[in-house]
Amino acid sequence: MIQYIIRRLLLVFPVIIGVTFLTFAMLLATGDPTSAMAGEHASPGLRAAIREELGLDDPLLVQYGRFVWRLLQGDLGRSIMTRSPVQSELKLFFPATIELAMAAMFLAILIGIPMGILAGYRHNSFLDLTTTLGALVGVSMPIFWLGLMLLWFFGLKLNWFPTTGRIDQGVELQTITNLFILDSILTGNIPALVSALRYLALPALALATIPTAFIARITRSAMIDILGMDYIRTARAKGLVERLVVTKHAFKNALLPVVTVVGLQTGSLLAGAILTETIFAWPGMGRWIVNAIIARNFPVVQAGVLIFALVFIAVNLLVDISYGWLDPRVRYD
Amino acid sequence: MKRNLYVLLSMLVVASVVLAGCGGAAPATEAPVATEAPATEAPATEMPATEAPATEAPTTDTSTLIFAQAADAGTLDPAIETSANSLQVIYHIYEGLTDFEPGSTTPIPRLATSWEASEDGLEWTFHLREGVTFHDGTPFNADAAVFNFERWWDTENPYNLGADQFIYWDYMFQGFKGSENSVVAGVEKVDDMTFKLTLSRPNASLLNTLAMENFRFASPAAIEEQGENYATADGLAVSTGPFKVEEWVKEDHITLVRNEDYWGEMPTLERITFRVIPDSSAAFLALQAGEIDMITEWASPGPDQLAEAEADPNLQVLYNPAFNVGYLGLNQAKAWLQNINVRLAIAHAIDKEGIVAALNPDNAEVATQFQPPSLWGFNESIEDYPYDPTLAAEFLQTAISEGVEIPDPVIFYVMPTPRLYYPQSQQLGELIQAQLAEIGINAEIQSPAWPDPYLADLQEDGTKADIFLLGWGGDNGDPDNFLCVFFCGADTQFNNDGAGGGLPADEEIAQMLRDAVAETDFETRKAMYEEINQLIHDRVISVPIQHIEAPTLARANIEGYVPSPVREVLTYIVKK
Repeated sequence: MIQYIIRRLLLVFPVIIGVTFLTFAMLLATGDPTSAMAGEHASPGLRAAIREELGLDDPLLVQYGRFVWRLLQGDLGRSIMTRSPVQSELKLFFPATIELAMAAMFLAILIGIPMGILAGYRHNSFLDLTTTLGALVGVSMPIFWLGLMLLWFFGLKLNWFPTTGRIDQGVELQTITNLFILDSILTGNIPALVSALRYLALPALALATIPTAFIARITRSAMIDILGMDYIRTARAKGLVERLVVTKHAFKNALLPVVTVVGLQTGSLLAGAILTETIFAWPGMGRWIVNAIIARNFPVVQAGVLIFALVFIAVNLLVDISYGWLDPRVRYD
Repeated sequence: MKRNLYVLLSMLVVASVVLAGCGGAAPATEAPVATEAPATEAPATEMPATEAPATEAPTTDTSTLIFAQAADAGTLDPAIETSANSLQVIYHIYEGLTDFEPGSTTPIPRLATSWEASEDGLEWTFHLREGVTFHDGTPFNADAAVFNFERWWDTENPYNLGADQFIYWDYMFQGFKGSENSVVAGVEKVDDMTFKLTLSRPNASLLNTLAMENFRFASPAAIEEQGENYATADGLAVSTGPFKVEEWVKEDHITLVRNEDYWGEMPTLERITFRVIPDSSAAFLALQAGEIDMITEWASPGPDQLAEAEADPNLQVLYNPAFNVGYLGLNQAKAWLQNINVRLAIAHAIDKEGIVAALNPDNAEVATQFQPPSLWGFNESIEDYPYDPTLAAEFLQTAISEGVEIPDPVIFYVMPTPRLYYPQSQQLGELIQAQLAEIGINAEIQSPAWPDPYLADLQEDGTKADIFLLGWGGDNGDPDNFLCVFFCGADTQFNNDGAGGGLPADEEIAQMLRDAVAETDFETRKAMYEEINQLIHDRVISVPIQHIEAPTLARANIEGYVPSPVREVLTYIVKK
């Protein structure tokens, strides 16, 4: 098992190199920061000056080499637009997106799995149909439209939730990790906790719709498959309480595909957060990276891509390891 | 039976969901599409008064103004910033030698109380205001002025960030220390409160230029202390203005607090918070909910939002004077556009009145020339080319008979996101496309991402776009700033053949502009610009389409806002 984990971890390096190099090549080939820095004031002369200053006319490999060299020294560079060290911006925006993504995944699991179990259990019933349709709607609905609808209905009409931001401005919160929920718990700051939860509710709900749909569907399929298996009939024949049959025997075995989907969805959650972050003015990494791509803010894009790749790899590694725990037949050597 | 019913039901739901999904294909930033839903959902009979619940802590606090922008400031260093998101915040923190009179572009004293220019217009002596301190307590004096100017002008200066960063310096002063084009020839301290600026050639727009945010003074002590971090979110911007920086939470908000030691008239507001709300529909919702007080004009609201705001008694629309131009650029590096009959044909084919009436009836006016009417030098006697498709077709025929080949298709660049001067850029593009089709020009709309590669393509790879939509907002209230940027040098999109080359700009007009900026007599200058505008019109270098009165949306309880051409000034706003 340990060997397996080490081998997987070693694979991180080629993946990182591949991902960052591709990003670099794509971004560099298509522009420079001049348009973002100067807007309608941009001129060819300025463009040439900026390209020279940033070394953008050097060969691709030379530029990439520079980037790797700095990275090995732990230097992520400075953002071209804000002149702040990329590291400091990362520390602000990464936790914000993580908080949003985790909240969304939490909701997705909380809602999706029970729905999926019930739908699978009561296969072909009205409940099943509703769940399936709901999943279809969830997956098809554009997030930014859903987000605006949630804002309009819960924010403006009912006024139950605030519309933009992460926390009330008047609230004082000492940020340790920059995960507001966690920080407010760690510092015992109840008003901050309440405020942060209120601001998190709508964006998390909007972001959760697609993963909920996926999770519900996959849980349902897995349950249908498993509930038709022989050993389930055996369990029932043994006289086991139905609830135990479903939860302990059926569901636990259904977890394998579900966990896979959760892992994959985490990756797409990080990416999907960009639209949610835009609508709800949530100061997270998705927006940070997309703005950087548009502005050709290379240091930021590189750092962002690097982080996303690492997170994706880590989550999938955890998912793969969990197979060994969930299914005793799976062995890694 | 039951199952068939379910199947039918599910098909109906699927069909409706598919249709609903189809409608949402537009990008989030396209305000008109996204605001359609809330506008139609709010029934006309519902009393808008119920929309303003009393639980909003932020805006019932009358000492804090919450102003929404679409993006965060980059840095708060005025010398290197060009975007309104940064300059808007910078304006309230920094002061310079001059400023614009509220609501206009006339320069008035700010940190300089008076000034004299030598006979030849080359030596400018500024008398500085006494008793002014920077936010960090250090005194404002001639040393500080010199420090700042040398930082901007001398690329060898230890605090200079590089010629490629000081974009506006290069723009307005044409070069740095040691370059022969540089307008500035020297800066010196005469005595503690007197500062002298020596020019290499007369520049009649100097006082206007000095009023711009980019030439406002930072505390030398702060720059020395903070080094590279000065005015970033990790540092602190320090100047002499009515507000100072209290807090900057990146991508979320910047809060300015009143400077209690301010030398001038104290603002009523205690704080101004600049909130970042990227999506204009979300910002509008926040405004309606009372969570924010104002939305910047740069959010470019379309007619739907404007109509809703006008109808809502809790909101108001504050129109700023039109100080911009949106135009249809004609790339004369393309052979077919070098023929004046072709350009005349295009000019007559465009129905500007129709465009304005259809897209921005409340706040757009037809542009007869590049300058807006509010700017002196505007030539009132210019007769615009009337909308006349028949005449246009005739001109086109003449051109074709002269051997001009009209490409098919004609590449037409239209920006995908709204701009201040084109709040409805996509719709505008389509209208123009249709109007050109009527005279037989097949324009193909292409919308590369804004700003890159849209701007890059227009500047570097002129081989792509034949015609394009673009625009400009004035920076310093001087016609030179409006016209020179387009017509002074070879760096113009009208003459770009790509690959770094290009046809030279119209040399006659360029020279007239250079002469005009050096002319110190006002009446003579005015007449010169009127003549230049006439020439530009006669040669149909491009087709100016409209000027927009950019609207600032606000809650109804906001008073004391003076609509301004260049910057939204929040300093003396009162929240009731």
